[in-house]
Amino acid sequence: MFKHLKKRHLLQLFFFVLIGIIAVNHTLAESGGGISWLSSASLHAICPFGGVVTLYQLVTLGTFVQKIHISSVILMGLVFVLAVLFGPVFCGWVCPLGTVQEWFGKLGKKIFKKRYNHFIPKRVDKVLRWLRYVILARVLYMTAMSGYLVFADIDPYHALYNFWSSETSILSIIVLLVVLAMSLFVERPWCKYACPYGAVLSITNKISVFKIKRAETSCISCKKCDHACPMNIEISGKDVITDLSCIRCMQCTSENSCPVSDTVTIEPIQFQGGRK
Amino acid sequence: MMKRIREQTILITILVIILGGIGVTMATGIWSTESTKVPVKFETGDFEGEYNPEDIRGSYTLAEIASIFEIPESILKTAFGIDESVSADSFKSKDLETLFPEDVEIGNDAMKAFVSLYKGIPYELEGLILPDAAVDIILSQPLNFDETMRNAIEATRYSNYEATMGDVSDDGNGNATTPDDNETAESVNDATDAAEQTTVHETTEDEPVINGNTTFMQALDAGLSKEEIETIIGAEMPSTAMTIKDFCVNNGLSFSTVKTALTSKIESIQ
Repeated sequence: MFKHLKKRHLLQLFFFVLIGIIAVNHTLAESGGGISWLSSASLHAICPFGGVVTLYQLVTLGTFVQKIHISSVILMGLVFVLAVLFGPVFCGWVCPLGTVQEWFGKLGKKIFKKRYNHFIPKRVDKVLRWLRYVILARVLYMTAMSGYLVFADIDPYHALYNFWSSETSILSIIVLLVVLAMSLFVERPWCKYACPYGAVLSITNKISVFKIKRAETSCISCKKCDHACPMNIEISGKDVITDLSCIRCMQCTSENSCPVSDTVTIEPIQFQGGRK
Repeated sequence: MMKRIREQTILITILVIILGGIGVTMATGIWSTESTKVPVKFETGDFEGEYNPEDIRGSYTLAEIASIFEIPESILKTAFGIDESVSADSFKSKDLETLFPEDVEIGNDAMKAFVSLYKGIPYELEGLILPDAAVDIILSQPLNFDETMRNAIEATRYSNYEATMGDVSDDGNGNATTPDDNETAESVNDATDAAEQTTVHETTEDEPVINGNTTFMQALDAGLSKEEIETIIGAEMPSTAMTIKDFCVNNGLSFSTVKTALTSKIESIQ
């Protein structure tokens, strides 16, 4: 089981380090140094959400929002292909901000044991889950109206890799610190309640080719899948997981937490009849 | 037939799609993490099909300007008093600001003007200062500028500006400087000097209110009203997300003139 877990963690670490190296190299290149054979792209240029926020301007004016380039649009497209295939795997396997939250979450688990990730009452949690869609709508509208990256001022992902830069707003650093502090109590708080890109990708939970499926016939109702889910989804009560919060981290599957083989799996599910 | 997949398959697919996708778009020349350094072209008029120097950005290097506008690098260096040993691949148009005293605005706008006039394209020169060498080069070209235009070009001479400000200026260190000194001695050849001058700019000058990236929304945020902006651009304000520069370039307006008018309006409000 641990061997399988390592694969996702290794990929997360790979992207975390890769983006970190590029961010540092960008800073060095700005001051005339840096490693020439390594990408010195700005963080905005390699952020797929930049592709989302620039879409309106690209269609209406044929230009990109400030600091956004074609690379962001390409990455948006590539991540979208992945999402159509597997759902929001970008969130669970690639996004460095998600990775950092997980790392802080491990510490939180050690401190709070079983209470971890269960501090927020379900009713409140249910309402808060819609917040990221509100943020998404607001960010898209503001960016379309202004033509500049309004989200950068609060973006904790930008702060994570650019906290040393004068370009980074104090507000985004505060948001990052709050997110990291909250991660000690709640698993992936930014992903659950605030991430606008996660909101975009969440829709593919409904339409992706491959979905997580629970085989009712072999399920022993041990609820280990429920406990393993960082997004608090009640997997044991569903046949096919189409919950908008799912990040396809595969923690619930028989490869990881489910003790019965081939019971919680990811497989192609037809849109019609995919759910009982 | 349902086919289950394993984590390993997902991992490989992610790597193949993301890294492979980047690789393919790089190989095909689509991938770019920087602004495209290709200026817009004139769509109508006598210069239809030619690159518009008005679209030169501060990030363009001398080598890029030389290549795009087919002007020898040596001419650009001579015009702006840049030492021959300075790399044209690394010296950016905006770096011109580091070569001249703080109170003299010779930067990207001067580069645009020089390139325009060198190519025989009229340019709005009001308020501009050009190094004497640049003026000499322009006027030595077999161009069809009328007498008025030639006088306007002549009036941009740095030495004229100095004469207006006083025959001899002080360089801040108590040393007298002449136009010749500024054109030759103050080159980026001495990297330390250039860095020091850049620091002075960064610490003593505010960022320009209006620059090539400013959108109409930012002009509104700076305190201008829609009507004031429309009066200056002489047209209805387009999408607030559009950059003012793009609007000027698309509509055949001089960005420098519009920029100056908007900036002074904002300053008067403040």
